[in-house]
Amino acid sequence: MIADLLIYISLFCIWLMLFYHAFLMFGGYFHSLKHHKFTQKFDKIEHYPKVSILVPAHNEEVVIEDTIKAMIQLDYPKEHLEVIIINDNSSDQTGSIIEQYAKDYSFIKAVHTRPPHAGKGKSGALNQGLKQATGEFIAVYDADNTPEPDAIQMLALGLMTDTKAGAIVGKFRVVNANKNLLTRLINIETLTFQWLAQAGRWFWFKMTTIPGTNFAIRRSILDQLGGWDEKALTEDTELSIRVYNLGYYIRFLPSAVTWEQEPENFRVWWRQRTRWARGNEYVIFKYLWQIHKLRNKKIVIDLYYFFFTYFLFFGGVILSHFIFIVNLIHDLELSIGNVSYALLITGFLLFVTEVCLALCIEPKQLTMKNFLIVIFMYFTYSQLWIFLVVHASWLEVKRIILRQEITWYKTQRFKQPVRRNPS
Amino acid sequence: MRNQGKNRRLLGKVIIVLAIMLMTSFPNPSHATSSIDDKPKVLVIYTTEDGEINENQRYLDLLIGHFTTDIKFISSEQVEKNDLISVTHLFYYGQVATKLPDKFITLFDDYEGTFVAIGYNVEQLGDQFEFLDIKHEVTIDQLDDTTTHDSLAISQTAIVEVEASNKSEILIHGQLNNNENNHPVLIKQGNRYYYAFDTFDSRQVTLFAEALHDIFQIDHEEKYVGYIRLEDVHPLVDPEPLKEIANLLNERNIPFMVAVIPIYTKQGTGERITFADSPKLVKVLKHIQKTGGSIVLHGYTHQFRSSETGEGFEFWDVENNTPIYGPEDEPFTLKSEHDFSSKAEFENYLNNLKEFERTYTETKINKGLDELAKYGLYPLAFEAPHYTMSQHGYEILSKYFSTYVGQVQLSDQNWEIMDTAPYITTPSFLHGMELLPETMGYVRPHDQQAVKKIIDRTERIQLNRDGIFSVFYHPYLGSERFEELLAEIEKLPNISWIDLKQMDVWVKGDHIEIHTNNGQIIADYNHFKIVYSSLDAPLYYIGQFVQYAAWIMTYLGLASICAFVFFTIFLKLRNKQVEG
Repeated sequence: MIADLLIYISLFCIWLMLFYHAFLMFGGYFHSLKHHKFTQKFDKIEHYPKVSILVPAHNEEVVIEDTIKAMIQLDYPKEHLEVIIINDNSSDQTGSIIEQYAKDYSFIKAVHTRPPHAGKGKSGALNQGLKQATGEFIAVYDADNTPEPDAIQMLALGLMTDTKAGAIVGKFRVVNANKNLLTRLINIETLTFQWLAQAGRWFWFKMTTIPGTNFAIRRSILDQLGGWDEKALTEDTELSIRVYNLGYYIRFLPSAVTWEQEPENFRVWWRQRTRWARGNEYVIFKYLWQIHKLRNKKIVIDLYYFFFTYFLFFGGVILSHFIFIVNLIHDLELSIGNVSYALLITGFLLFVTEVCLALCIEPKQLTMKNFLIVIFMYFTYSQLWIFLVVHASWLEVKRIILRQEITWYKTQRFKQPVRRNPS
Repeated sequence: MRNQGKNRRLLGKVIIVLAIMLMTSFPNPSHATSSIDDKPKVLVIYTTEDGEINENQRYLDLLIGHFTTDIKFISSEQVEKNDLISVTHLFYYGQVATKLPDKFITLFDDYEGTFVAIGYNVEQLGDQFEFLDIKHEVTIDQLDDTTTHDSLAISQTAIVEVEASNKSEILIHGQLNNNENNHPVLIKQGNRYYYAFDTFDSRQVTLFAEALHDIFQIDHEEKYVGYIRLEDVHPLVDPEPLKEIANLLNERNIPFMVAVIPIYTKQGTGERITFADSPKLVKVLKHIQKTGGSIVLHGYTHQFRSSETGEGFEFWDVENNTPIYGPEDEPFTLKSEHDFSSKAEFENYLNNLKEFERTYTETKINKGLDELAKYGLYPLAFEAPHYTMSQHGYEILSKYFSTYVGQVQLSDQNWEIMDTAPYITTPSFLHGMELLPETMGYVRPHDQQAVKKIIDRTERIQLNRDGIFSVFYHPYLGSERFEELLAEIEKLPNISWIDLKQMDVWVKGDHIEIHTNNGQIIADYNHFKIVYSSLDAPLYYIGQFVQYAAWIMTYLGLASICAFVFFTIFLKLRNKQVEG
């Protein structure tokens, strides 16, 4: 009887999320059909605003040069552009590489952080960079990013056109997608995330979260907010919520594209994702208890989304897996019956078709190979997330109980072969 | 002038009111006997060994109950002349030969209504039965109705040997071994009748039961009735055969009953299984209730002490052969009057036992009703497990049900003394409940001849113009054997099948009231007290909702899948065009 009740609860938690995702995917698809209408308005803009690009770099010697080169390639009037590369307490050659370019290019500025303002994580570095920035709009790129030439133009003109947007978020693509199975899986995951979660939420709710890279935000907002929250592990989610709180929205603009590196081995992936999961859990706990204080109630949708994903959805999955296993050993006389098999199959098909649709929105991504990987993904990569969330939750609980300091695991970078932009 | 006129009108009004009051408070005696409701008023004076009513009087009660609900039993020791006032049909039943009190010499002098004497002591009823010459005893094994020429074989029975005057009419006579010697069994002279049996049971009473129509001058329509009851349906019963059987009956438009036990108690462990554990069975039962079937409450657990549901007795302590006088978990021995120093103490003891029985019975009935109502099942009648119940039990039951189904236990001394009636009846010992007697038995699991035996019993039933053909069947035996039974039943003469929903029945529990109206079941109950009294029903409803919702989710999911596939194909084609 109790097992029945638990199965019902987990079933609803799981399916609530599945339907929410399906709903978002519809939105993502519709947005993909019409997002070009927004960029068509850019033709009317006559002057370019001043943009400061912040690139925090902590021991990024492997990738920083490519990133700086991409910045140089940006199709934006250089008199309206400044690229601030924050060498955050690096112990490698990062600092000197930056200095080299800063000497050659007047629009590139090097900022070197030193203790006690150094090594405090991405938020700290960004705040240091912000102090030097003079632009009307602040754009942020991770040190492993190579934006496409028109990316900054898209973001800046977007902010000019849409005055209600506090920030504009571009799309990121995986540069090392074909490196190995893991990066292929991550590629599929990121495309799905962007078309389903970002574009979908934008379409239905005019809501997007800042992904940490390839976005531009109004300087006025940052000033008002006092910069980035240095305690948050995922400063982007945190920042997104605060932007909404000020009454702005964040626009998703898939035309602004950057290419970024994804972890090439499992250990790096695990560390990075654990940080994300912990960061999101931190945000849930920070805001869930003060929902009434949030001025923009839209955020509640996102907070609930996180809450549902991390606790109810994964909780439901774990619970139903557990009941399934117990039922194999000892017959619990579950009364759910055949419909559970129907749901199991439908859930699987829903996953496959959603992901395939997201892949199909990007040219040449829905190949037979990727299709097979999607099926494989359901049984492996997706299930890994269960363990990851359990692990992250355990770390968060431990942190709260033991009052531990937050430490920032820097994502390990990999040297990439020179890539030509597909333009 | 105006005042005078007013006073006169007032006076007129007062006179009219007074006249109406007089007319209503002193009814015209000539109307009292005939036109108020035309119902016979019956008095049965009985003589038994101990002055108490026993199974034989109760059987007579079953027969008379077919014609009236106004039946009174008084022993020959206690009867007074006043008791005969407005009696239309008087019965004297001498079960034992004894000297009657002297008052009997003149007791009936003013009585002019129908008078039926049964058994012994008939010569002591004043001059009422002077046309009879009482002899000794005679043994017979066959009865013949002299008007219809119906005959009925019975087991060898001794009856009172009488000789009747020439003026009297022999309605039934008896024979032994088919010889020509006819012995009068039912004799009529004017409105005086004599019946020579001194005991009653369903095997020999048929012709008398039919003759009572003449005695009461009530000419019931010649129409057989009947019912089929699916028995012992509890939460562990396989719903499949039940469903198949219900379909067979529905296809033939034969209404039927299902005797339902709401709780299954496992032997030994005492584990209780409710309908929450068998949603499929609930679905079948609800469908049955909605279509041709009616639910009959067949106890709460159909067991007492450690026995298994369906096997045990519930309203009779079969180990002690007493009514249920003590808790299940305590041994019980009924004390006799010798164990007490005074009669008052003994009576106090008996009252306490009866109080226990009342609480026990009422609790079981209420729980049974509540448990069924939780799942939307509304019983329209009651049937005691194994047909066992004390007389006090019937009295308690009559506050809850208007209708009783099955056979009746006729003695409080021994549960095995039970019997059926030849037709539908409302005997006084059921305190207003209408009895739909079961007359044909059931299909015994291991008896290949079972169906034949059932059909053999119908021969006797057909001798009553409005006899009842009623049979029950355990659905776990499967639908094939039922079809076999049904095929035979369909060969019987035209039977009007009882539909409880079409009858005027009511059930009144503490938390629920059920009645029928134009074939509809109307149930009025306290949702909170019934549904939320335990977790079972809420969980069951959640489960039902989940099942329903899960299918909706599946279909919604499939619809989304179709849309995504369609979008994907659309994008693929569009991309090809762009590239091309």
